[in-house]
Amino acid sequence: MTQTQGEYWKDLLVAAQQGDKRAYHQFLTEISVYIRKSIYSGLANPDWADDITQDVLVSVHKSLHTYSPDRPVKPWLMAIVGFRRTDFLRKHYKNRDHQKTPLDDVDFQKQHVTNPDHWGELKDIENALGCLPQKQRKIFKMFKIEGYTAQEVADQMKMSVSAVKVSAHRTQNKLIKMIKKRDG
Amino acid sequence: MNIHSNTYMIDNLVQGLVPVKTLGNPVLHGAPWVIVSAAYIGICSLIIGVRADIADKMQDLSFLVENGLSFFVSVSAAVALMLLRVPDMRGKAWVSGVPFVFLTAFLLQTAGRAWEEGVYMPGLHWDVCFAKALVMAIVPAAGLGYLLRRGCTTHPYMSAVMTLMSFSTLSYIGLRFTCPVDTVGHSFVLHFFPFLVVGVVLCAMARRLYKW
Repeated sequence: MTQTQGEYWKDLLVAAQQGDKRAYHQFLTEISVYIRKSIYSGLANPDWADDITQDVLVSVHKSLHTYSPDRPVKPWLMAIVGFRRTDFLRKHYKNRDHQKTPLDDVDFQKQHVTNPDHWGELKDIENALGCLPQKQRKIFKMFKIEGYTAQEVADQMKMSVSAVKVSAHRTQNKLIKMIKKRDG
Repeated sequence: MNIHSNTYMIDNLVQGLVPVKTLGNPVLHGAPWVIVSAAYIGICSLIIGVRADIADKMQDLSFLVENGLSFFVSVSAAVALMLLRVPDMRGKAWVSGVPFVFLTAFLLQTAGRAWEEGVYMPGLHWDVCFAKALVMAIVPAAGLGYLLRRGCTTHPYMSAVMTLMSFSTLSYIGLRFTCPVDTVGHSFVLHFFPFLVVGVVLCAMARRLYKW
């Protein structure tokens, strides 16, 4: 009778618990592929799969003693995978990493980073922003430039969410008018 | 896939492998905690002084049900907590629901008592019951902390809730055996509320406390 993947891992893991380094190496190598496959499709960025896989491998190492040989391996492993995946995503979004873009992303730079040839336009916008009241300027910068959510701006400015949205919209219209007036 | 970094990490982990002693039955790990903590609460109650009407109270069904339910909450939460130390809970995830069933029964019984006697809430002020609660809770809480160090929980918030439920309800029994005031308001504000505050702090810090 052929052994299933789970049974094979179980044997490797039990041997690893007894200090068998070869079995442990085999086990970690096999699960690293499995972990990556299982989390890959649910992540916005494929690079995260490698980071999470490494976190899980360290966690498996730390929690090796909690595995009981009379239990299947996969539920034990997937509990750790789920925990580390959530942990990683929580940290990632908390640090606002999802709003950061690597500087070497050429496509992003082409589309979103100001071309030095158009530097004057940026200067015009900055000058126009400088003419606005401080509070209005701060709301606009946070909401439209720095990428904070309306709720976060509202919390910081002690305003309602709708007031933040209205203020940002009015500021945008005002800026458009000011720049058109200057150009015109 | 960054094969090189994964391979390097696996090599490092394999180098650090030492034979491990597997964690035994989590439930049996909880048994010494229940025995030691119950004994400690008993000794504390004797030292602090058992309430004068304890003989009458032991005939009072409501008192016995209240403390019985509290004890079941404590023991079932301790068992659930011991299972929560293992990532897959050894396939017994349902166990973490049991303390909530007993807690609901306990709260319903308390609500019934409050309905019967009328709700009177004393003001929140320093009371000797706070000190008693602290003394009675410290050893059971430390015991759970020690036991948790051997585990690797994947449910830090649930672990924090179970920790709180197990040591607070056990201490609650000690307080009921030493404090002569029987009103629900007193029990809630001076016996239960301090643990609620500890619980909020514990939950807020759960991810750091149960980090591994």
